[in-house]
Amino acid sequence: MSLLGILQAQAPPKQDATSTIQTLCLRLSTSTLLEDRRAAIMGLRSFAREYKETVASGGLRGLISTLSKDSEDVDTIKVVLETLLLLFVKDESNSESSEDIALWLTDEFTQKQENITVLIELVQDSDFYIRLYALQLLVAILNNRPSRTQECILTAPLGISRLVSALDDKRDAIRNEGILLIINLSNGHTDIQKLIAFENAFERMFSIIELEGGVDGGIIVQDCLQLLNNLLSFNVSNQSYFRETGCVPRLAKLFQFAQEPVPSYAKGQSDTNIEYAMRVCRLFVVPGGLGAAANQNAFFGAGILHLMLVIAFSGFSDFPVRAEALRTVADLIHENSLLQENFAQMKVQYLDPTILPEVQAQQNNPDDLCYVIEGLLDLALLNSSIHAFDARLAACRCLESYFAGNQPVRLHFLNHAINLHAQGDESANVLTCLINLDQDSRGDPYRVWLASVIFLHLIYSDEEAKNLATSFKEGDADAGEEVVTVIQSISANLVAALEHNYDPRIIIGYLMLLCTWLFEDSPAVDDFLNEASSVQSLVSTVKQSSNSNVLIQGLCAFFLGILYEFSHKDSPLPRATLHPILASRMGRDHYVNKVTKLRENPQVRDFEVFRETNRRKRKIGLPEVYFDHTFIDFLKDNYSRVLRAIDKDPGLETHNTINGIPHALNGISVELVDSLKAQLEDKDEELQKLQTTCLTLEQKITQEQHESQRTKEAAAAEVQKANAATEALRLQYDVELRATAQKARSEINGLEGQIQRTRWEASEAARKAKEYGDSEVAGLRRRVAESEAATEKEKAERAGEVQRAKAEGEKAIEEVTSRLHSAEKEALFAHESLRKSEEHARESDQRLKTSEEALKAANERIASLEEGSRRQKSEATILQEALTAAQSRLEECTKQQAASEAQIKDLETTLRALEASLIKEQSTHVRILHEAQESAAALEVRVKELDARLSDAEHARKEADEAAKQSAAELDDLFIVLGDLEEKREGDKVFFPFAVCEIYSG
Amino acid sequence: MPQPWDYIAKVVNIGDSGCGKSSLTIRLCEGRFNPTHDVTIGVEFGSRIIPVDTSPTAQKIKLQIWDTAGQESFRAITKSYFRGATGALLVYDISRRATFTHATEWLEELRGAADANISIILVGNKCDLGNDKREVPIEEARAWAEGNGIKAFVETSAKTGEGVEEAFVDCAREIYRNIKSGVYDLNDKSHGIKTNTAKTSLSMDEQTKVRGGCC
Ligand SMILES: Nc1nc2c(ncn2[C@@H]2O[C@H](COP(=O)(O)OP(=O)(O)OP(=O)(O)O)[C@@H](O)[C@H]2O)c(=O)[nH]1
Ligand SMILES: [Mg+2]
Repeated sequence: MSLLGILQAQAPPKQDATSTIQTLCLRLSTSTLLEDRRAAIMGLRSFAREYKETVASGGLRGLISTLSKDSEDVDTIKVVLETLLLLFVKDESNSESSEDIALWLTDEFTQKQENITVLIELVQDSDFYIRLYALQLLVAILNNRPSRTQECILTAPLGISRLVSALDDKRDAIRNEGILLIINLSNGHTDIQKLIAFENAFERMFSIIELEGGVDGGIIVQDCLQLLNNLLSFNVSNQSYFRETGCVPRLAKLFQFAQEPVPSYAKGQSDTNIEYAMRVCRLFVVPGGLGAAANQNAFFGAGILHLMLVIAFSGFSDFPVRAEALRTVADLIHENSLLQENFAQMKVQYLDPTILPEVQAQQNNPDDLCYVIEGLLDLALLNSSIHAFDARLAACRCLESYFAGNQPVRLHFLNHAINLHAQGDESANVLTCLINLDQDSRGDPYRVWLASVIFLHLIYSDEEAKNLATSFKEGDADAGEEVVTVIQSISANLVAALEHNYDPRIIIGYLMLLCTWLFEDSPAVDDFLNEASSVQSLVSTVKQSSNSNVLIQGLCAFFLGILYEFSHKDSPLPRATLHPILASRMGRDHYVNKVTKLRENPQVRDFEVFRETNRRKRKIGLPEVYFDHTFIDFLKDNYSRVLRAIDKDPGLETHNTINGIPHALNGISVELVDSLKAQLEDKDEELQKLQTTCLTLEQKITQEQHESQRTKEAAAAEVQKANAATEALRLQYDVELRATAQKARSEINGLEGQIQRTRWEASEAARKAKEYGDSEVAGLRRRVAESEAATEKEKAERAGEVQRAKAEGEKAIEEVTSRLHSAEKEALFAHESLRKSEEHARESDQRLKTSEEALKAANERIASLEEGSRRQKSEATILQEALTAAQSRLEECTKQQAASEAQIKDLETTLRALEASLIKEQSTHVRILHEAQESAAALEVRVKELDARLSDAEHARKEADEAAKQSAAELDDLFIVLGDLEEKREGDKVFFPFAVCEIYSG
Repeated sequence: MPQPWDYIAKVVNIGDSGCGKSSLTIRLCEGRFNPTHDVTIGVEFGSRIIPVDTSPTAQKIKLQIWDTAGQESFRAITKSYFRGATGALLVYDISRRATFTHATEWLEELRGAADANISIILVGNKCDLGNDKREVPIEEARAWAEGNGIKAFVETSAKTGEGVEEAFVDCAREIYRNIKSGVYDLNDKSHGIKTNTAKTSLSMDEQTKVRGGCC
């Protein structure tokens, strides 16, 4: 019967589970027989679901140690892993389950490197379940303590490569679990990402994706793409590795699927996969990213730009996929002039924006092509479907990227739009959409809004484009038509929209465009101010109190601020007239309040956040998208300047340079002319001087630039070297540290062993000595007792004998004396028998003699007995001495024990010293690391200094340029004044020839 | 299978390394003492059921004791166990003043991570060491506890067992008082408090049975 069976048989049916579990845990940790351990583990597994806490607290260590102890026994290992997994499962309904248990389990693994190492080794096992369970455990552990687990796996020998090899498993379950594991493992750890990439992960991912059937391959393909995403996100090194190992064409291959209907059950997943794959593309071309240009070219070379456009303009693609494709296109061409030009030449499938996508798919005519720009404009401006919004926005971004950093493209586009509009062309046109605010565009407010945004990107910060746009006029004056500029048309539309309460998106679109256009452009401002009623309309909108839209009021106020800031005294509505309209009629505080409210509105303040969330939560109705990101940047950059504009005196003009020169003055004196002439010469000279200074400065700058470049490079090299050195040092110290720690640990272990041994030996010796001493003492005691008893007995005996002898003697004496008496009596009484008596007397004498002899002998015997007793006594003394000796020996033993204990103490001190040295070693290591980092930082500071010097120099040059420009302007002015004067003098000469002669001769 | 307790409460032991947190846990849960210092790696846990009063029908609280490591290097790990703790033993060593000074930092860390209603007990351990070794006077510790809003203070010896039961029982009772006065939302799983639903319903059955017998 198995152990469990026995236990169950013994247990009463309601036996306390806790004690059963405790018994099982005890068996697990103490049993020497594998069968017993296995039975205990099986028992624990059966409790693990319900009694997580009890099983974990008592059994976890034992279970984990089995993983290495019984690693040969597949069945046992399998059950152990199963039990551990059960302990990880969170179970809300179970009071014994808590997140802490899972966390504790995790820490038990991640705090002990060897436990993670064992798990990684199990992933190598050929058994299906062992492999799978080990992977699942690692995933659970990674989820609980990501960074700590990453470090452990990184430290484990061949950790990464062993885990990545699970991807090659032919069994899907294991392979898929492996993918999940690597996704978790690679999250946010650049070094691990690199190591995974070097394990051929890209190749492996693409093989799996292709095996699964590309983007139609289900969720596993999504996981693979997620993993690619993790490995490539903000990891420039992996990106170039990807590019250099020929993975771009394989990525491109994912997009080469047939443009045909996909069954609806598969569509959701395949669209998700396509979007994931596009997201992978976009990681390479994040605007402004390092290596973006190289990646753009590589992707273009692999045909990805073309494939994106095919998907974006396919009747079979849904709008979300089209939108993502267009966003990818936008990133692929952003600020790359070569690609921007190529882009304009590309053709796409023509889709009629006015018919439903479902119908479109059927009517598709593959030969019906148009230029991509036309397709984008059709989509952005004419497709009014609510589902199309993201795609329209993305189309708008494509155009923005097409313009970005490329003035020729912008001017070409603008010219083209102007020409087509002038010709009355029917195709989608930004300009037409801005100017014609008709029924259709009121029904689709984003038409004007998107047209405004596209136009904004065309003219933003581009003086030439602004001039081109400002100069275009409509209407044939000869035919009696009113001639109007674009600004005038737009302002008229804006006023109409404000008065009739059109959708706020229309108003905001126009205002965004006007604000950016008129900023720093006085001629454009003048153009707007030609129509004074527009200003009135803006002012009354700001003043409205009921039902007012904060965004619109704020924007109108902001725009009025721009108008005032860039107006001048000769504007159609001069500054001096404009100021009271704003400061009094509208009210200065009102203005400040509205502009501040705009700035504080979440749509403006948290625009960046909104942009991310907007895409996800889409309710019914129009999206809550009001602003363009470039406009928001513009608003935030210039907010405080425009806010303060109203406090500026009307006499102080900001900009007069474009509108130019003040008019000629009348009644000029000749002295003035002369002084002007002299001034002119001075200026000339000054100009000359400034130009040479400028030249030398320029030279100096170039030199400086060269030098700084060199220093920068050197510094960079140094930094790199320092970094490498730091890294090397770190590694070296790590190794040393580890080695030292190892050594110290083993030494400590040794010492501990030694201590243990010595302690044991000492106590053993002490014990033995004590035992020995004890027994000896006991023996001696016994002997002493014996001899004492003997002495006592003998003494008693002796005394009896003496007594007896004495009594005998006395009796004899008595007898003799009585006999003597009777003899004397006889002698007295009987004369006759004197002879007899004398004979008797002789006899008696004889007897007396013998008696005396007997007495003597008795006395002698007493003496000899006394001697014996003395001897016994001395023998006892000797025994006493032996006893003392034994006791002193015992004392010595005790001393020896004390000495051993002192030795133990010494060893412990050594141990502590070793630990201290370990700690010191660690701190030195940290210090060195710190120093290296400091030196790196110092180098960076130097680089920054050089940069600052460079910018100083450039600043100086700019100033010089400015001065030069100014003197040139002044020179021009003087020339004109001089010309006027000369002309005037020519006229004067006729009337006052004498005066002139006088002046000349004088 | 009904469990012999009515509530589970999560309690954490915190304090400097070597002040005796593990020793207190071992004394309470296993009734023994280990004179060597086995540094805790990360965290350990044990449990013990404590009746809230002396009557035989007293409700029972199972204290789930999380014994954390005091060493600085485990701070990041141990902190994640503070969350959801219902009670805490803040331990210092009366023979090492530094462990008492650090109590302030421990308390701060605990209050930052744990629930606002956590029941904290200040525990001065190793009181068997005698007055010549003492570096923290009782009065000072008590005053500090009061000053920092800690309701209970006790001195213990894991070695002799003195005060150990008392410390944990105090903690269990305060938790029980809090349960009864409705401080915790027992349905909120994030709390370190759980009710034994099986037991509660069972004991109600028993009550009705007893009452039935009386009538
Ligand atoms: N004399 C005495 N020694 C104690 C007492 N409690 C603990 N010790 C000793 O103090 C040392 C440290 O005890 P531990 O319980 O391991 O300390 P800890 O607080 O758990 O330490 P960490 O796990 O490192 O945080 C051990 O050598 C214990 O034997 C006590 O009450 N009296
Ligand atoms: Mg401990």
